[in-house]
Amino acid sequence: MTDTKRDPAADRPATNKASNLPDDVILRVNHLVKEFPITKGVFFRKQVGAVQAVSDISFEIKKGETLGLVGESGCGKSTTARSVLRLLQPTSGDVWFRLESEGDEDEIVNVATAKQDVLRRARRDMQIVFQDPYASLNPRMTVASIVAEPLLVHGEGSKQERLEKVKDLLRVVGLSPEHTNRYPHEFSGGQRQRIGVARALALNPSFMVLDEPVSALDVSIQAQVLNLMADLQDEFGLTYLFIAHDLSVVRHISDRVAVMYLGKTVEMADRSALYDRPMHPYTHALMSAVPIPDPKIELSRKRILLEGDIPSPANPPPGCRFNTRCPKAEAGRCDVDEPEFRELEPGHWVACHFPEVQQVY
Amino acid sequence: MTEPLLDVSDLRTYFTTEEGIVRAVDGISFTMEPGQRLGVVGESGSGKSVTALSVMGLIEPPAGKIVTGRLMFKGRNLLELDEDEMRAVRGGQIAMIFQDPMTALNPVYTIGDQLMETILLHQDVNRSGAREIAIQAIDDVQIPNAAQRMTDYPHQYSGGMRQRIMIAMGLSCNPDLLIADEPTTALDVTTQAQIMDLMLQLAEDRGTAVMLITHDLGVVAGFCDDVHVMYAGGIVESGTISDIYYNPQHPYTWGLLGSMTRLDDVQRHRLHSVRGAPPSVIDLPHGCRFRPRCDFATDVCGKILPALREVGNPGQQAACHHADELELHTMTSGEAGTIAADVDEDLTDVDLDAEEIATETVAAAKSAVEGVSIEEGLS
Repeated sequence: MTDTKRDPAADRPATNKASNLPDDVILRVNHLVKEFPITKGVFFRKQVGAVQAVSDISFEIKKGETLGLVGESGCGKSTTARSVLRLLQPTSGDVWFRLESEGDEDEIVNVATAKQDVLRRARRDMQIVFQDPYASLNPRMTVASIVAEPLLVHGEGSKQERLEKVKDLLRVVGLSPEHTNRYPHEFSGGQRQRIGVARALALNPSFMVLDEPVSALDVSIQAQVLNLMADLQDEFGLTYLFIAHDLSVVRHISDRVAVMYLGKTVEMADRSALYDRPMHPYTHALMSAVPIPDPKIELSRKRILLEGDIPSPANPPPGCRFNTRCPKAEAGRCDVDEPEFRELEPGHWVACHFPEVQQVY
Repeated sequence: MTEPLLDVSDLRTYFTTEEGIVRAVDGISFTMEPGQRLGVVGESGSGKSVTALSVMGLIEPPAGKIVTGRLMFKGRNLLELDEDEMRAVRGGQIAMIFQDPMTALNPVYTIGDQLMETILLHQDVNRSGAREIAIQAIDDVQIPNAAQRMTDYPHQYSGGMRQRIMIAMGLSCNPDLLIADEPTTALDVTTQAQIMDLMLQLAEDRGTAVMLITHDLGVVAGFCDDVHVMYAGGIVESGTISDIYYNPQHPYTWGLLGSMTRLDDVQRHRLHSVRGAPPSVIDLPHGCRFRPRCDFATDVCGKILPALREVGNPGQQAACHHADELELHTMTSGEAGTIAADVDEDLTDVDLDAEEIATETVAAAKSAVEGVSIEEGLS
């Protein structure tokens, strides 16, 4: 069992300027693992096991690109997002992040192991927008103090300058600058999510993690926020890691998409390749389950109905993690060998012993 | 034509709150035929759940009250039944499935006990008879080892399994009408597909009428025959699924369809969002309730609340003054996109003005409300 208290910085370098991160790549996640201990007993909390929420996943995000990370509840997508920002300490693996600096050569930082001062610098450039716009804003702070907080923490500007910046930011996300002295409860869900976005933008980040940013919103408001995210990306050249369970939303916003199941990425490809030519049986099932608001298509579609429920991540099945529910699983192969995550077509990665392109709508 | 199963006319359900009277459902009328699958679609606060609770007789006094209306179910007005008679209808002839299967099940009783309770209440059987019916009901919703699973507690079931149990419980007394209030919203998409598939199969086999309440136009497309679109307490459009999806007449329906991201969207386009946010149901705008968000509003929209009238395909109805002039179906999503882009510029101002007014009115109402009786507020 892994001792989670171990200092992960001990055996690995904190920064690595010589690492071979291509110029156009802003983030590289390498063999990321995140375990949560299972403890027993009240007084002596003895560790009796571990849940591997994220189990050895790797991906890259290019500058200005949106990578969508989709999966059902418990697949590890949010844990991945938080580990990337080191809001959760990764158990092992590296998160290489490009810290852009004007003039100088870019600095490549390993967020997973960086010392506090380096991490602090890196976090100016990486921000997060949370799912629940009701829980992620402090109800006792005004909009001005919420949005200005990152500036304050990083010692940016005078009080007056910060207020000006807040007003600019509110304008950018489509709120009125006069609203600086209001409290979160005076805003609707969509407007609160805009406040969350303004806070994330305060330090001019280059990279943003969007963790289910529209899941709590009504359809018409969801469309407004998605349009806003697209506009901001164009305007500021932002790079997004977009976490969602809704495959339609992910298709809309992403350039590339990775599908997760039980802590693993099972398929990753360009958006059109993934949706038009999905190869993993789980991707097929997932996509065929998504309803399309079009009666003719809905009535003529054949659904792939999966049997049973997602196994517990505390006790994942041996071999391929999907083998217990997979319509293609072969005994002796899929329940023994874990399939490798392979690049079957340029840019199209699949972890399956029997990959096959299948139409799903 | 035979008598409709359910005939709702001019239903108004209001709630009294500190901020004022919430007109959650404000004058809706519709009928349901036996075996019909009806979708009631709307965003939060549109009144769709309150409609269901009103039919079930689950509006809690004194805060909530059905102010006017008639709820004819199989020839009887549900609003005139006493509590005992209503209890026989509820669960026996009209059953309901709720969104969250964890809070709808009692954690300290076994699944079997909870299923048998309903059956013993509504059917003339003894315990062993009820047990048999319960096992059959669990088996019908495709849970393996039904007899063994009777003794399990709710926490031993997964979310999808619990929702199956809710369906089993709802259907165990062979109701004429099943009301499903967002039955799959709390579930993952693959589980949702399983549950919707199961509900469709069971409803078809037994000829049960289903009222599906949801915010998801995707789920409705594969399940329902007809749809009502609700907005701010009223029905703004109704028709068959093909009317609503291919020939929407009300700008809200059209906007809602344009706001949806689709799995089969090949081209990435700007979403046609409906600007602004739904109005406060305490302080509804004058005239058409959708007017502050509508791209096509004129003077008349600010003065007169449009009634549902036939427009578009035969039998299709929309509550819009301009429905017959708009030809919304001729505007493709691409055009919708460009229109939306133009509108987007001034979106936020309008949005905030509305919000500002709402907040101010609430404050004004709060100070004015003291001394004013509820009856006065209602009239």
